[in-house]
Amino acid sequence: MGMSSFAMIVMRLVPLLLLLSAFLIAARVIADRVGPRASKPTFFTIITIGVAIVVAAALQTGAAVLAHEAFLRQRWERVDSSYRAYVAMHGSVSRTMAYEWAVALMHGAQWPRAIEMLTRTGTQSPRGILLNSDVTLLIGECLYYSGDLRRAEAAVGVARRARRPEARDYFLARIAERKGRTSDAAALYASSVAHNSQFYPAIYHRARLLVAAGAAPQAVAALDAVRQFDPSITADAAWRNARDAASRGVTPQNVEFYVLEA
Amino acid sequence: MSSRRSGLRVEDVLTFAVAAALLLFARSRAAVLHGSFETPGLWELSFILLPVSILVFAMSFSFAFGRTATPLGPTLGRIVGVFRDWLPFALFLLFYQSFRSRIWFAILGPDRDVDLMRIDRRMLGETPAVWMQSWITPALTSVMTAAYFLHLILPPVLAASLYRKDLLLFRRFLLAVFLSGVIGNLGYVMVPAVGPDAAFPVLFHTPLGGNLEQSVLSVIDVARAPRDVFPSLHVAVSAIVLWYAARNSRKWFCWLLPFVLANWVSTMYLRYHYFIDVIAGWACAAAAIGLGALLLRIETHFTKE
Repeated sequence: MGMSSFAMIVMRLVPLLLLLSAFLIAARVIADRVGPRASKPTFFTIITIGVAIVVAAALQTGAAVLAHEAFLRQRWERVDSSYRAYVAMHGSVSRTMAYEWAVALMHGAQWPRAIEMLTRTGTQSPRGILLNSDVTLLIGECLYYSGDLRRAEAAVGVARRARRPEARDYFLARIAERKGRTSDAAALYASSVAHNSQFYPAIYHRARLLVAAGAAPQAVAALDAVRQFDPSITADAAWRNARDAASRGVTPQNVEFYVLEA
Repeated sequence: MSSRRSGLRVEDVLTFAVAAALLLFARSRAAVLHGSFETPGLWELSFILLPVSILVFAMSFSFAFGRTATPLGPTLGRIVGVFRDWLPFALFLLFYQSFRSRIWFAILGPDRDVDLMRIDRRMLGETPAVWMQSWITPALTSVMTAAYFLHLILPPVLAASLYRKDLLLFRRFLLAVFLSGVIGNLGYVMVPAVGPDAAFPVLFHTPLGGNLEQSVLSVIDVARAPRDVFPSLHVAVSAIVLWYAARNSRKWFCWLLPFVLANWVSTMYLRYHYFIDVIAGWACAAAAIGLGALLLRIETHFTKE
């Protein structure tokens, strides 16, 4: 079990113990005030209600802990099912939970639900929900994969402070390319690679546009450079096909990479 | 009416009391309005409140199922008493958490990491976190991570033992922990710093590794206040724990000593602190223990009167 799950259990154990204590005291006090015949049934009824509430809360906590553990182990379907169980038990979704759930939904390509969860990670303000740049970027990614390029470009474009600038420029490049702005796309792929020289999706598509622009040797060099930081890439069929095509001066296939939060 | 030109004035006490109350109110309000059990900064509080909730549960259970009828009033009085007795722990954490408020960024001066590093280099040639890199193994990192986490385990464990055996020693212990928090926060204001790892990343070439490191430290880090380096409250609180463990019994002291020593080393091994922070932590503990004892003597003096 992860440390964060342990902390989550301790966090919920404290109020549960205090709640159960309140029920114990209330049961004794009320039982002492009713007649002698009703005393015992009253006492055990109140205790049973208290225990039932605590058991329900414990089950709810169990679902939240299972979901969090599944998130840590990258079992995305389990994250979704556990959080659904948690909500079915009237659990309130915190910002951390909403983020974990959104990432799991993105891995399941459930883009509208992922967007809904991502908006729940924001903070309320008089002007509406405030989202940080990383979340805005993720929303842009969801919109892009669901095919809404106009809104995707708007969302990714405002994520100026995202901690993954390579991903931001990559998606702007993808959108630009799909809208026919090839020179913008080439510049944005190059910018993405400049932010992170090991970001393979941007390297691949930059190489593809280099071949299309007649700079095949540069494209081959860019693809070969991937082997330095990821020797296993040679086993990847898409990389082999792209390199082979580039070396023959043929534009590699336009592959869609799923760039998701791990 | 006297017109005092020196010494403590009632205005001084009121000013400090109102400032402290405002700070506590702001933090508590933020915790109540925006917090939940999942609020990262508050999870440490649950470790402190766990012994309290166990004690309250035990009292309530005994009240509900006890063979001899106990009146409600004394039971509730004892429960309120438990909360009151353990309150300094909660206040300590609230003070610490208040340092997460963004208002401090308007008050704090520039980071003093360069000065702290200079002092370490003058004393030892290099800050220990740098030369401790040669010790790094995954197993040692796991041990150090566990030792670093002990700051949340040892105080409640010792407090629970003292609470059962000696209420006065328990009060001295908790008062010292609370005062170390106050002194520590003053240190954070006067000497803001982020620690060797954050301030000088180029000095560290060897990753810490270890199985526990990521899971434990990421949880601890979300509850950390920024610029909480000088003095090391990890060292101060664990030094107070060791002092009162020795006052409790020789067995407790011998049992806790290796854990506390490991806790001190871990603050530098994990690159959170300079050696001067550790020394300041010891000084902070000594001051808090001395001041706590003095305040309790003053209280006894006034109670007798």
